[in-house]
Amino acid sequence: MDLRHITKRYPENDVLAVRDVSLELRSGEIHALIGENGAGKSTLMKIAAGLLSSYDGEVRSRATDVCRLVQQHPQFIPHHQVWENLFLGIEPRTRWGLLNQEAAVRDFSALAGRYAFPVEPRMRAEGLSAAQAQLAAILGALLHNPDTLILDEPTAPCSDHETALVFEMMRSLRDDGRAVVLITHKLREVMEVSDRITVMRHGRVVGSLLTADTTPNELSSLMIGEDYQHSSSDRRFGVLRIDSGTAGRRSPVEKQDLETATAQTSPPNFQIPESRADPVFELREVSLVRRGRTLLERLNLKLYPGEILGVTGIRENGLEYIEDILSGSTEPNSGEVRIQGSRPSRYTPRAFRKLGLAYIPTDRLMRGASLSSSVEDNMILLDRKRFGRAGLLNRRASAHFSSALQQKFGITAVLGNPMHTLSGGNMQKVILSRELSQHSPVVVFSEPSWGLDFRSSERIHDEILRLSETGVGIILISSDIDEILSLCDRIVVMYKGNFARTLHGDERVRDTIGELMLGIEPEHSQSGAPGEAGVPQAPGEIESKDSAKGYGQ
Amino acid sequence: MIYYAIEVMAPLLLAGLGGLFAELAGVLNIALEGMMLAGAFAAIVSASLTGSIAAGMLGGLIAGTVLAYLFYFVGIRMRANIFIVGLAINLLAAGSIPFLSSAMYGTKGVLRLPRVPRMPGFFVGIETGFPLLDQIFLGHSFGVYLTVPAVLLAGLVLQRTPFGLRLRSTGKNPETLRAVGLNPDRYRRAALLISGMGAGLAGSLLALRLGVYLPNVSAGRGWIALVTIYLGYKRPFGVLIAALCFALAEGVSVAAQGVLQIPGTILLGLPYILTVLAMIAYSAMRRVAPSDD
Amino acid sequence: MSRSQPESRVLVTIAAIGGALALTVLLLTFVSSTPQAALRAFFLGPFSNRYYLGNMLNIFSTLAITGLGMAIAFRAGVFNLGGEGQLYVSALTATMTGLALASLPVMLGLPIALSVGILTGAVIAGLSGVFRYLWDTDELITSFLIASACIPIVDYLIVGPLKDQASNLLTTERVPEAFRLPRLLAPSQLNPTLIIALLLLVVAYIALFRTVRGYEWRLSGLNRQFARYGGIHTGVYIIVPMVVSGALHGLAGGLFVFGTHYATLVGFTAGLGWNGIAVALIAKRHPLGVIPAAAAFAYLESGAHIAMLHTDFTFELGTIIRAVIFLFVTATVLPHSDIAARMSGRVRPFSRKRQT
Repeated sequence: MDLRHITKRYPENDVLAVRDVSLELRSGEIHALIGENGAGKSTLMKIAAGLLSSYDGEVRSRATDVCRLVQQHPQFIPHHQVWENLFLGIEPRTRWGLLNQEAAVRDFSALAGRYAFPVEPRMRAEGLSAAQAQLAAILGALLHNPDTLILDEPTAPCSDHETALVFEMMRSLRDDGRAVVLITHKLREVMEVSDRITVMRHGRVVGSLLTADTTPNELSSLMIGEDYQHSSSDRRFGVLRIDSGTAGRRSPVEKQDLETATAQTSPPNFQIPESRADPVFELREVSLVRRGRTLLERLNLKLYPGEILGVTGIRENGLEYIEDILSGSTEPNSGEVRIQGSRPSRYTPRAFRKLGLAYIPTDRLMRGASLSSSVEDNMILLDRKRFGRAGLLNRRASAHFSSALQQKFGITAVLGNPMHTLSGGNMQKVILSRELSQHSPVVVFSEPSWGLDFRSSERIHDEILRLSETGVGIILISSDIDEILSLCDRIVVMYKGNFARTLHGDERVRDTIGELMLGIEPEHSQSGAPGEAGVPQAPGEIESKDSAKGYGQ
Repeated sequence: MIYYAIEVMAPLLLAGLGGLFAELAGVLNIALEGMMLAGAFAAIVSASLTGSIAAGMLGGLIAGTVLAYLFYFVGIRMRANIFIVGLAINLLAAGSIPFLSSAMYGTKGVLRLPRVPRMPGFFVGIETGFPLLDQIFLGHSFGVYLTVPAVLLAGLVLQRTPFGLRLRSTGKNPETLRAVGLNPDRYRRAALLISGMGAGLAGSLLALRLGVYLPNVSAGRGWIALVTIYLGYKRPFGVLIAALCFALAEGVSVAAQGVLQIPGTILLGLPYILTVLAMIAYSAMRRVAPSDD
Repeated sequence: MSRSQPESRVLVTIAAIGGALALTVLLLTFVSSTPQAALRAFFLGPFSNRYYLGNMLNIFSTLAITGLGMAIAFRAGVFNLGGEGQLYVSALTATMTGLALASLPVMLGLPIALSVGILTGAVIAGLSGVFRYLWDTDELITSFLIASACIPIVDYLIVGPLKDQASNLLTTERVPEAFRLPRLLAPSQLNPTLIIALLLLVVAYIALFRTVRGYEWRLSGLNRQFARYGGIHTGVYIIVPMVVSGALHGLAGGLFVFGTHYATLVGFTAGLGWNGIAVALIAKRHPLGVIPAAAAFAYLESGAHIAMLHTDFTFELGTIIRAVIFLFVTATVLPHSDIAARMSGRVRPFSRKRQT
């Protein structure tokens, strides 16, 4: 397939997404398309796949060629079975024209088996984890037997194991003589799997190289542009060090711009605790059972002030449920939650927030934002009561507040515009600015850098570190091992609804985490019984070095 | 009473099944009422013109379908608000039937036309050896015997054909159709036309059974048909059960009227109340069961 | 959600309304024996004298209140399809209270009677809200069902036990002279309902867009999950909007009695509830948008009424014209709205379950 001089302008917001780009996709090659968010990668590939119609330029391919694009957030119909979703439009029929379910399931299972993708065709799509949904969407594209397969950030929701499966599939397609395109901004993946790399920035191609001839550093400077001053480049490239060993906490090099983001905007609603000896957040024997399945089993966890506690694992091993439990979105079936020593009155986000919890959710679009409301209305959500004067909303005060937040966090947006006009990075900043304006002593971050580019995720990481230095207790839920490794003091690895192990100090090694995530007990196992995270309480338990208490005292 | 209920159920079920297609395709068809009314009027007119029951039913079917196409054109093609279009279609039926009636026959009231044949009873005089069953299930008008095949057919089409899969997918998320190069509007149109046929046929059964056209002969049955879709949890067999429940409730009301001397008007409200109670009971039961969160 | 530029949408709207009017003219010319007179009566009638103008404004007043009642519920993401029945029952309870309290002074008796009407509507609609809160039953359906069940009961009461024996109409007794609201533009039916309606629209606008509660109210309607996440008690914003919506219908019913008819007649509110929904949707669920939407409705309604009185224009013709205008206006003013999506039960992929 050959793309010639493609230019695409979105008339709604007059954005020139792709400017005069030419690109050749060869069969038998894995072609990586990299660039920051908004560089035009996805738009270009939608054009290649024929999903966008009005553009300038020319797409050349053989008429018989099939090109399939697997989009970033695959859409499924939750109540339909997986095969019903994937065979839409290419339904196998019986002799009488009826749906041939057996044939569909058989074909699907054969395909899934070939690549060892753990997806069950008769399962309802709502039961798929994000990673499984991604794998299912890839299989769905493969059912069309494409000559060109384009994958847009396919590994975003995947663990290392699933990423390896996807890469294996890509290689096998390449060896089969097909063209594979990988859109990503994870340089490690690019270096690992691709044959050829095209770098895009601001809608243009700024470089086209063979993977063998380039280095991550060269790619990253192409992506980001020469003018960018690295603020803490060590951490950014720490991401590339696959065997980074004991990646530890790294202090941000600079934080002058991002000092207490809200000192001028609002009086603190909460006191950051002076004493660091008492936990600010606790789970005691928390279990969650739904539809007869135990999703979380008797979890214990203690979080101390100034500590960053990482929770990681493969997502369907309970990561999304722990997010709901920690934020008060779901009521556990047994056990209790304590925030600053008190039990919340109910298991609602409202009660949790009252006790001093802030929460940055994974689902930014539905839970973290109201897309059709203005940016300002999104910002004032938690402070709304403060802008009430005898019940009336003081719009001047709220506008002042939001523009102060906007400045502090460097949010590029018109405050009166609806939230959905914002880029992913700015949207996350809005959420962050709102949550941090509360000065809550406990902050739960869930997948804070999902889908964000380097610069945005870096700012968020800096903010997390800065917060912990002020004494805020932080729980970081993330399936990105590098993120966890570079930020956290203590790491809890989840496996099948349990805390497989708590890792302290030198144990925080990439390989160990990877094995624990898959349920393999590492050989050098020493401390932390299953179901335990935090300081062992029961007598007889092995006393582990408590980095939390050690830190900050 | 049960005999009467079964008779009442038939048009309700046909309209409900038709509406089910629209509902599953993501279009709330609140114009079932108007389509039934149009079907009833057209049925009597065409039966009178041809002297044939079959032609009458065909007339009703066509009338419902024509209104459904109008619904599709304005509501889907022109991207109108589905709800207001539905109201408009109901108004259109309510306004144009008396208008046409007075223009054609000089009356807006009861339309008793010549040559309209009586709806014959089917399976009359057959005995299975179970008098009770014979009494309840035999000798109904034609429409009643249409219902069971209709339910089976609807289930087959919706669950077992590529068309049904696409139609259901349209209702859940039309983007998934577009992503594979299918046009969701085609399936919405098909679904609406089917709902028009169902409602039109249902109207024709109402009128042909009586042999006359009464103003407002549908008497809210289009709305109840809509409710049966929800009560039946959007499944053909569920719609059958819901329609039967409604029909039984109406049967009870009619019977109670005779026995208890309760004014009939009050009992008109009974099916609605029973439905609300059934809904609450069902939801409450689901809440208690640990199956859902 | 707008798919095209605002200017072009306005143009299309004007073209659509123009088309509908042209069709009206055509229909009248074709059907009427005196087309000119019919057209004049239909289009200019409402402005021809005080009486017609007043009556039109009176229709507007009631529609504005019911339209607001619907709009304000839509804003919170809840749906009250029972306006028709709430109005009717409330009219009856207000009437009966007025009759029972005839001996009290007006300043005491009238407010009580109206309050009873308001309360009636609020309870009937509020039930659906409570049911959804407790058991997650769809308020869209239960409100319709409950209200539909009420209508025949009211019919029965008016025809039966509560019938005014002195009248040969199907009506209750008339409320005491003293309780009747003054006529503003005699001899028309216009009464202070108009002022109350306009006041309510302004108050609702301020409450929705300029208060903290209004912010929570709208947010609950836009994205309930987000509102809950932000610590808003979203259960409250299921029940209260239904209660308020019902209360407004109850008020409309009460005022309809004390301002316009002085009694409850069988079926005298028919269509007001449905038209309220149409008004709210055409107004794009905005309290101030209710003004032009209800005005347009009132104009058509009274035009048809006047043409009917003076020419061979028939009631059905009015209905048909209204239907045609319904079709066209919505086709262009409203792109596929979230209401349409909600009403058709469309589900967002991978969105969480509706949370109360």
